Amino acid sequence: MDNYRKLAIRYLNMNKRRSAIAIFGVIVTTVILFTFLNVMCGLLENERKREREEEDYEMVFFLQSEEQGEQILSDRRVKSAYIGPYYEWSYNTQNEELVHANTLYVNVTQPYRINAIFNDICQNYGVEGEINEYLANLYFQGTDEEGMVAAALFVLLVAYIFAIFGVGIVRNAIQLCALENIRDYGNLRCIGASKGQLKSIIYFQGAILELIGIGIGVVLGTIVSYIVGAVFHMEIGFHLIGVILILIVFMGDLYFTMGENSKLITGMSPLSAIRGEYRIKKEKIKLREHNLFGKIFGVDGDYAYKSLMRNRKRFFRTVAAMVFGIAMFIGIAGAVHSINEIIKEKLAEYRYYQIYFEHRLGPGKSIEEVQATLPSAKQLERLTQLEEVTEAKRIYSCDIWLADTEDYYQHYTEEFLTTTYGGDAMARIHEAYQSASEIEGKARRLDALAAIECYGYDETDYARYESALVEGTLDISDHGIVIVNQGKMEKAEELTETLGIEYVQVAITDYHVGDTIQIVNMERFGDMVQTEWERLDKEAEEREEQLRKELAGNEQEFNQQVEELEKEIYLEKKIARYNCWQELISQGDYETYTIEGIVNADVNRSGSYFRIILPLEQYFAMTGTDETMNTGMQFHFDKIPMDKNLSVICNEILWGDMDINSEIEYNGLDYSEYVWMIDELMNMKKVIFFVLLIVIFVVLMASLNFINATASNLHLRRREFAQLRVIGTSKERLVKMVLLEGVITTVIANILGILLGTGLCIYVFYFVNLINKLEFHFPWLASLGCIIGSFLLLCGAIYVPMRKLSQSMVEDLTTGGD
Amino acid sequence: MDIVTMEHVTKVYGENDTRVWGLHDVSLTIQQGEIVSVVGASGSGKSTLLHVMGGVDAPTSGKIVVDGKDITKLNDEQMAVFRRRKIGFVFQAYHLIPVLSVEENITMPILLDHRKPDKEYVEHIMEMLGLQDRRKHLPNQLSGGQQQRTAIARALANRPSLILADEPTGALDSKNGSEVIALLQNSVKQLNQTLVLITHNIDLAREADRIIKIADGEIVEA
Ligand SMILES: Nc1ncnc2c1ncn2[C@@H]1O[C@H](COP(=O)(O)OP(=O)(O)O)[C@@H](O)[C@H]1O
Ligand SMILES: [Mg+2]
Repeated sequence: MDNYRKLAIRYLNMNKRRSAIAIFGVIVTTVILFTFLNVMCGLLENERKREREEEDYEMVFFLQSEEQGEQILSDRRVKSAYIGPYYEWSYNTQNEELVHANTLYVNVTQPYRINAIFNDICQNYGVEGEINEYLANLYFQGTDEEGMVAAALFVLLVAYIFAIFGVGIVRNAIQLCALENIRDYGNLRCIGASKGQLKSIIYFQGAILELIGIGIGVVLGTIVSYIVGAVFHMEIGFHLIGVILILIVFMGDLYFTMGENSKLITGMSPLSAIRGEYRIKKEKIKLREHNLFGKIFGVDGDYAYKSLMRNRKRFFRTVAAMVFGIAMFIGIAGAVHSINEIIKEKLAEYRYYQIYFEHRLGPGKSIEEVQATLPSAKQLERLTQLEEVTEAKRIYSCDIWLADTEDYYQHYTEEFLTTTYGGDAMARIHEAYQSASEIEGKARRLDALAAIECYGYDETDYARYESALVEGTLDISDHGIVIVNQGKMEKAEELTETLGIEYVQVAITDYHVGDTIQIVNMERFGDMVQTEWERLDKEAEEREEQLRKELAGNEQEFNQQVEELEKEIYLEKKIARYNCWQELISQGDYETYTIEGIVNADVNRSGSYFRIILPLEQYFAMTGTDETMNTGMQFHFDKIPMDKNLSVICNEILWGDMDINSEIEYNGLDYSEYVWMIDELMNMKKVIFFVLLIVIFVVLMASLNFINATASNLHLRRREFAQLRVIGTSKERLVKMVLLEGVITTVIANILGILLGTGLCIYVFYFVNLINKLEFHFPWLASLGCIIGSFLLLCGAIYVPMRKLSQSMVEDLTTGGD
Repeated sequence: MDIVTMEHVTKVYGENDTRVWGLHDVSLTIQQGEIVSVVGASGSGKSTLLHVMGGVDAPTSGKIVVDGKDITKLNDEQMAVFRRRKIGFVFQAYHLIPVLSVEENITMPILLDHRKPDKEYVEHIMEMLGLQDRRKHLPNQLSGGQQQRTAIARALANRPSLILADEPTGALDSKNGSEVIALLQNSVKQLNQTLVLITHNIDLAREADRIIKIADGEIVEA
């Protein structure tokens, strides 16, 4: 040893584990911070590069003469330049307008001084110009520099917060070490060490821990940055500025906190070292009355309470920190729980076949037309091959038309018509239909009143309804049907209390087993409508052709006329369908079906409407279709699909070959939004995971700090403990007495923390409820976790150093001077 | 030559009701090369005398000149420099630095003074005190006597003007105690240094050139 400062290394070596933990803390903070800074710098760099590819100039000057250009070019601050015309986007003409023909485009040598250089050149050479604002902003310059400066300040703030953590843990470790060896510092003073020399030993210890931690942290952070870059397909690289920033904030903070530490030991006079007085601050010890804890725990409780009250500030600080931590934890747990519940609820709504692509048949739609809009066989194949897809089935579905709409309408329940969004709409449509005097008015609205969804299922799918059967049987006769009569439906708007969509569970109709409904001959109805519609389509084509001739050259007029024509034909079609329907009824060409089973939920498919479900054979018979006429595909997942390909395929199916610029035309394809729901869920999980990481980080750092602080506090009291031992307190009893202090603190902190946390939960819950109705759950598990965690932390933080202390206590007493 | 001159030195502890006289108007001189024993009952002010003389405690009033310097006028920093250059302390409880080896403990005052230890001299001291084989040992690997010998070596290492020893044998048995004192006195004589020694042992005290007797903070016999 050739320098007294090496004592620092000896002290760090003496408690390797503590030093390692401190270094670990610095590493963790550095890794996170450096990765953050490095990624930020990488993003900034990439953005600069991207911007320079598009517009590689920092400023332009509108030259008045050639000499002016040459003068500017010879300025040593100009790195590169070229001459060309300068255009600017004009809002008035919606076009690029020439601003100045002879413009000098310039890049300077110091982009971080764009503003100053620009102003200087303007003044020196008497020229006007403009700064490339966006590029300048990327160098924290330009007229709008405040925004970027604010962002930079935010980054600095984040860095500083991390520094507080990283340095805090080092400070505590060194403080503890200094307190444990405080007598050494007094002895050093005796043999002639000055206060400055003692300080330098402390600073040296801090610097060693910090630098090792930062060194390793930067290496790991670089690796993590590369991983992050690889995951998000970005080039991040290595940015020295991050290291410099970390060194500045960490070392800067270290300088101040180590100053505090130094005060601790320099306050130790050589005399007190000789006399064996280790207490640094003389405290006033007040006589206190007997207290509650004394009554409960006897003399031990009395001692514990008095010890706590002796340093009230520290006690309240500890309690406040714990209360805050517990409340935050419970609050977050409550929020996570609410989110989880919502997700569960939402996902359950998608029923057995979570994903489907379907285009229901109906009068006027040919099967070819329908199947043409379905996803291609290839796309369906790819979906089927996803690992999580355990079942894929064809859908058979069709709109069937009632013969007596009025009879059906009368069966709607009051509840459905008045409390749900759909029922409310239905009531309005019904009224408009009734009061319509012309055929147009009726024809427009007929499909809403007469069409009912009908689904055919194979044996296994059909049998699944057994669980939802509330009346009758699934085992139906030739002219029997099963209806889905209940649904979780959107609440009517005027009844909604939250900002989001609310649902009510209602019975849609008051049908019972034995009731009948009449359904028109669907096969004939379909044929009739199709003939009529084909005729109308042909007519439309002819008229469009004629219009084209008449209005040749006047495109605007032509487009307008065609639009009119389309509207007319659309109405004509509806009228034709109305007429066909009337004809079938007047001919008595409809059949009566008896309701033989009622289920209260559609277990196979999402969506809640009045539906008819049938075994396949009967479905074919009723709708006049056959096996080849499937109207879509449906897929079952037995667990939540995590495969990214799922949403890729689904997106491709729905808008794959769609041109963004073309108007989106609805082709009748129905699909579930399960995939997007899952996407959102994944995003939410990412956010929760991130929040969790932060919480873990904060809890970890706070705990380490707390453990260290407790240990130093106990060290300060070691003479007192030694005295207690001397007057006959057993080791165990002493540990118990001090543990009781921890117990009292934890109990108080938990009571307050859980109360506050529950309040926070209710507060969060209130807001969640504005968007989505939920039942409130008290976060039992989180509370239990908090209680256990805080007890372990507090008592552990006391127990471990106490056990070590009580071993060296007698020595503490006997070495005290004369 | 006078190495220490104390004139009307007073040390008062506490205030008002709790006022205690540590030293009461003490004046004395100590010559270069002298070995002086300080004796007196417990609480008589022996340690206080040593502390103010060695610059670890400041007197309430009076003048203390050590090696030609009035130490009552020094500030904290100067006092530290004074201690490491002019004073060698030996305490009852050794007060070694536990994380440093014997050799490192001994050279510490030199390192603190930003100097390179004089290898030969340090070697000589260690030899004199029988510590050559223990140089790499930590204090907790040594016996009490060895620890105290290390402390003595440390006190000698910087060739101080004055060595102050406060009951250096108090924590040792009598055989070890006599041996340590003999070594201390021999070394001081050999190196022609000055020693002020507090001891309860009258036999050991008699070996000194001079005995100072203290009672109630006053010198009663010099
Ligand atoms: N820090 C102190 N505060 C109050 N009184 C002190 C202090 N140090 C010493 N004293 C008192 O000064 C007197 C002399 O003490 P000291 O010099 O230690 O005696 P000793 O001769 O036993 O070494 C004693 O009465 C002691 O109580
Ligand atoms: Mg004494």
